[in-house]
Amino acid sequence: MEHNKETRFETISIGPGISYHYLTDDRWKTLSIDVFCKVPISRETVTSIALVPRLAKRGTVGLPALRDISRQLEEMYGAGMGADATKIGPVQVIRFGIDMPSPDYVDSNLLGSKDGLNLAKAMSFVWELATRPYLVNGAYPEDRFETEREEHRRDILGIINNRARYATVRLVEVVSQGEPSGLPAWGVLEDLDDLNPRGTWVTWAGALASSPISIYAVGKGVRELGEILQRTSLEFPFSRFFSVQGHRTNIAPPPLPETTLYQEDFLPGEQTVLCMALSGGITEGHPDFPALIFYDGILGGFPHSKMFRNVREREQLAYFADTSLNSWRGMVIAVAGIADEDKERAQDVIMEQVEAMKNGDISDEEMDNTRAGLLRRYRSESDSQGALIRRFLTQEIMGGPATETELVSRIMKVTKDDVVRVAEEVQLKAVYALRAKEGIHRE
Amino acid sequence: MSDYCLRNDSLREEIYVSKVKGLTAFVLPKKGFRKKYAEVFVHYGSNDNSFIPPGETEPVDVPPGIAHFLEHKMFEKPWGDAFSAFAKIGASANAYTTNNYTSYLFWTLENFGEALKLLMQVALDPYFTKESVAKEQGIIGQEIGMYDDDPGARLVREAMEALYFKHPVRFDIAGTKESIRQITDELLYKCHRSFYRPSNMSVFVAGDFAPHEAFEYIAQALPDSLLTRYTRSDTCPAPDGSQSSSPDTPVLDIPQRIRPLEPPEVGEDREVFLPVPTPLIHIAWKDDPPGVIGEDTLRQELAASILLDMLFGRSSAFFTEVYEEGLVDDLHCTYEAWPDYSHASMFGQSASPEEFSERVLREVETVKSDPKRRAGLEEDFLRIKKSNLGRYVTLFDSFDTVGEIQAHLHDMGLNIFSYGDILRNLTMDDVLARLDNLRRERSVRVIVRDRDHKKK
Repeated sequence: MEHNKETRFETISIGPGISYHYLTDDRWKTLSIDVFCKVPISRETVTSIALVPRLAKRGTVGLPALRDISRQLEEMYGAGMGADATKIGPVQVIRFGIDMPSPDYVDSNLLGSKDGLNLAKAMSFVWELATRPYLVNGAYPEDRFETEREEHRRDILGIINNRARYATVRLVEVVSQGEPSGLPAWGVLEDLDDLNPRGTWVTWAGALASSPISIYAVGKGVRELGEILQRTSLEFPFSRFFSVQGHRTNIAPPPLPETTLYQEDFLPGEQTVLCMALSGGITEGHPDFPALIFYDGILGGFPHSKMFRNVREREQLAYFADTSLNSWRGMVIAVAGIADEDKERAQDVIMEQVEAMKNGDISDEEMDNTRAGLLRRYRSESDSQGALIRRFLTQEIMGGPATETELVSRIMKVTKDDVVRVAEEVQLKAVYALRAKEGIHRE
Repeated sequence: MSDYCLRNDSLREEIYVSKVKGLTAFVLPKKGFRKKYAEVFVHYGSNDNSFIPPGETEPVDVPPGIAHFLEHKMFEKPWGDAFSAFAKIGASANAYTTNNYTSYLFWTLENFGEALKLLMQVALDPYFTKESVAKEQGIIGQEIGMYDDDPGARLVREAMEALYFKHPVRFDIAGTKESIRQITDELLYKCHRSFYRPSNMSVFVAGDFAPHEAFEYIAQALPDSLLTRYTRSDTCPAPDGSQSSSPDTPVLDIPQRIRPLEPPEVGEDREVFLPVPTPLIHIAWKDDPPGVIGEDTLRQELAASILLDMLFGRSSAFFTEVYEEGLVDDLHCTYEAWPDYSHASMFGQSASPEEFSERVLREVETVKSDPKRRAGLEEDFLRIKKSNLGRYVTLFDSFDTVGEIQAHLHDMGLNIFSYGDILRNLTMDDVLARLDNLRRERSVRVIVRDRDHKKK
């Protein structure tokens, strides 16, 4: 059947360490281009580079003011601009992207001219965002820099507005034990004060010269865009090193704590959030990694999982009680939102599930449902531009399988014994609670 | 097989519409996609707290939060938990409740027919016991606690409470820990019997199938007894088994919603204390409700959304000004129009929320009264309309968005393509009518801030 064919990007090289990945597919009405600059995380650069996407959105050489950029996007039929910093493994990934309606579906009789809906023009726009910010005397303008630094500070502090997210961030901070590769994509709050407009630009221009870059494009005409990119050369603020290669070096996560770490914070409110880190040091490349994916699915990844059924449905302790897998760290993170007085009980019920898996208490139904859920996830990724890009980009950085065939076949092979073997390796590495009430338990 | 087909040639999209066993069904064929999607819409939401059940004459008042509670409980069946049943056949299910609708949905790559059958069971076969109701009170109590702690959710709730005196939109969709304690299995049955009827529901299906094939799936998923269960002559036996209607009262097969008369005035500004690092601000304006079901409601919503973008969007002079002064970072504007209520909202974070809000209200006054500013709006209008038309094209990439828009508009006698037409035909006059209705005396301001903030 035609829709069972594998959806994958074609890749061409368009310069040293610069790859172009394209997917010609007319199922979507959206065209998208994303430029990813992949910078290994270091304490020295992570915070200033985190400011770069914010500063880029303020203005470029061609579109110097915020308003110029916004108007340009509106003229491009409501094109969306994206610029952000995220993290894949130990790499800070800075993205500059655009998505816009495909000119094929824009009715020019009714909407007027389609000028502007042009891939080459969209590419120039994105590249300008990445490489040609508005500068004054070789530095970001002082006032813009101050505003963005302040807003970035507010963003970091504002993570606490989402208690579950904040608790997860704190748990990860606890298990990272100060290791630089474990720092978050937004950097370090206390380092913000030491940054300056010139240093930040120089850091970014340097990262652009020396880091691998991947460009992803989806939609009709992206092959032709690749040909244009091969003929012309992309301009950089600092000349690009010719030795840049895709990096596969040192992707090791921070070492795991030897014993279980415990940490609590108090933030008054209605709900306490309990987070637990479980790990057996199994990461991508380890033969048992597919079984770890199952472990996460059976413990808490789905509504049929042990945590949903026991913490929520049986004990009625929580509205949300689930897990997520951090594949770089080989760590399953369990999160539950509970009444403060139920904290010990919730922790016991979660540990009961962890023990049950160790003891082989995994039903055929749990195996089958998890397998079905994982297969659905992998197979449906071909329907989503965003999911496909994420999968291929992650594979570029972390290695491991990228094609659906590979992902599916390794999931098909996992047996209950494999999962139990993983469960035996898994240990509780950290417990973090964001407590809503102050009380006697706080001794 | 279908009754009619809606289409748009430049978008190259079609939606087939048919009545299947009394239920309105929409099919969106999406060639080349693997994912298959289905959503059941019940025209019943948190606003429906007071109604006359079909076949009865006396109004019933139910506790706030019951529609959402009911949605949770529909997944529990005598044979077990429906989430696990979906998982077993490879489907992923979910549900949500809004002010006006309850939705049940799943997506899957395989076993579509089976999953659709299950979805219909979830929506149509209620099963409540005293024990299961008590259990859910614990879980939803935690859900409410989660929203209580979420400053963004608090901001919206407080704004709605301040904006409305009587209309049930002022209540949180989930209710309160107190209100959900009053929910019983009998009340849940009553609400289900009243609203979950084919004439008050629809189903939307999208994926790579031929329309007749999709309608066949829907027909097979629906029980044959569906039509006879709720026909026009069905007087819906009262709980004691008696027939409650007399021969000369016309019997409606849909419940009569009772909405209190909402005055045009608004309540007081509010200040709420939560441990937030930066204050959050919400400004809301009460607008006149369109009063009728149909095109006017949609036109009002689209015109007002464009207006808010023109005044406060990222391309506006105002946004640049307040942004560069560091008064605000991100600003979100929305407008909601339903036949019985409508309001504009703006929210963001601001270190000086009082000053920011004063600037917003003053900006509206200036644009209204300064002929030059008013005349200058035309250019912004055309550009932002163009931008909205582009986004209208790309929304067809999202199955669930198409479904939601189509199902809601169908209940207003419109469809997703008339949405595009209305957008295209919007005029500056439509926008100016909304501008004149953004009145300071009909606005409220809500600030969420830390209790220890330093007063200036």
